[in-house]
Amino acid sequence: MAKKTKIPEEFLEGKLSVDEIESGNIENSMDEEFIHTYRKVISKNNEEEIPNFNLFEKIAFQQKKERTNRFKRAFSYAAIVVALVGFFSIFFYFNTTRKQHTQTVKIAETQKEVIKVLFLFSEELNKTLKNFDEATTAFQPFSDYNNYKIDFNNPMKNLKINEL
Amino acid sequence: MTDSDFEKQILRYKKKLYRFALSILKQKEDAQDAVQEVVLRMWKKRELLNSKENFESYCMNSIKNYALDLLRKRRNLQNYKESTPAGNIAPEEFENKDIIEKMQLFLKQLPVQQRMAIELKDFQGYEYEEISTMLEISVNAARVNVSRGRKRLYEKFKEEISNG
Amino acid sequence: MKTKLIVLVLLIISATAFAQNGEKTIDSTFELLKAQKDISYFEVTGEMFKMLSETKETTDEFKDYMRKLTGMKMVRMYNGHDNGAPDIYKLFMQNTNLKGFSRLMTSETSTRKISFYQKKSKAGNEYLLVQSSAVIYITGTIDLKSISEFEQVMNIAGSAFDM
Repeated sequence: MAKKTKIPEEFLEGKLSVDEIESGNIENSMDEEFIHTYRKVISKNNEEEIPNFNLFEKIAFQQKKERTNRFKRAFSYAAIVVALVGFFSIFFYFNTTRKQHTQTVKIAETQKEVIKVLFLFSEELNKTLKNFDEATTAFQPFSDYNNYKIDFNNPMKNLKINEL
Repeated sequence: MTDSDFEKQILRYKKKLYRFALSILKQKEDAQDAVQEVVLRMWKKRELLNSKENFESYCMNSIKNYALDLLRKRRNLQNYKESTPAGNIAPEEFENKDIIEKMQLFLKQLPVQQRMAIELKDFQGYEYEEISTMLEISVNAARVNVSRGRKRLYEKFKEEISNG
Repeated sequence: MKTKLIVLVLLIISATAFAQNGEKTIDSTFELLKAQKDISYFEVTGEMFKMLSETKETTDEFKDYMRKLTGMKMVRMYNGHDNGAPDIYKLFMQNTNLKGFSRLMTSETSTRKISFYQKKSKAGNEYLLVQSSAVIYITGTIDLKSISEFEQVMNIAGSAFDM
């Protein structure tokens, strides 16, 4: 028959678990009461329902955040790409427009010069023809008349080159 | 570890993790938040978890580290009083509680190292080897903490009963 | 004796006439004249005339002229004929071989001398205006009539061409 003892020292030294104590063997009522109460505390604690919460709530939130960030990143990249493409398009457009403009200006200037030169040629030609008409034939060598290949109807109607 | 494996494993330990966090942080919302946070952190590293020999120990250890860290930060912000007899409740309120409730309060008042050891040993039934892994202390240190905690509870209990 | 003298004189005249022509091509002479002091040079290529014939902002008449031109060159003295400045007429005539060209007209006064030359071929026509202060060389399918008419065309068109 087991002796009634005080609360086992081993228990207080941590060498025995609560379940390993045979309460019937404890002599001291206070000690027995302690073990009894302690066991009740443990069972009450373990029986208590834990709150119903979602273990993975933060994971879900994190995944959502990452999705949003991914979208934001993609959107930013897209925006940057669009901005860059837009910028370069505008740049190239203006560059091309400027080049075209430069070329247009160059052509316009050349056009002006061509007109001047052609006009000068025409003017001098007509002036010289007029001089011929006014000069007496005696001052001109005969060979020059032979060289006349001008057989047009001059817009200046008082000149009758065809008859020369 | 696949996502679904991770989820399955974690769900198995939900209760244990929550209770352990609660024993350290004492507040239900804090414990809930801590568990969710630790689960998130582990999820981020889930690819590395296959190599973990004891997933359960690893989870509990993570809870311990996170919760203690949180406590430390809080102590820096405010004077965290552990030594008052009634903790956060008024003396009159304390007197109205039954002995079981009082014991629960005495448990809360234990130093955190003893609290953790008692929770794991007496409430969750872990062996000292397991406790030493989870708390990252020696087996002997684990036992000593359990011993000290139990002795303190015993003294508090005797004191309370004597005062009547 | 008299016949011999006449022949000699004629020979000298013809020799002088030959001596008046150089051995260079028109283009080479233009290069030479271009390099002279106080000379401005202007040239238009066939490519440019093609572009000018296609510009949108001009009349059909003008485009027609442009279509008929394949080349244009001009050298000109900046500030008229100075005493120290080269006589372009002389320089041009001394250096250029005008074989195939026929002289249309020459007009000479105390102040200036001007000659017109023409060369017609299947490839195209070439016209020269040679003056003391300028030489203009025009090539193309254009005929002399059109060139002469250009003055009138411009006078009518007037401000449209900014003249």
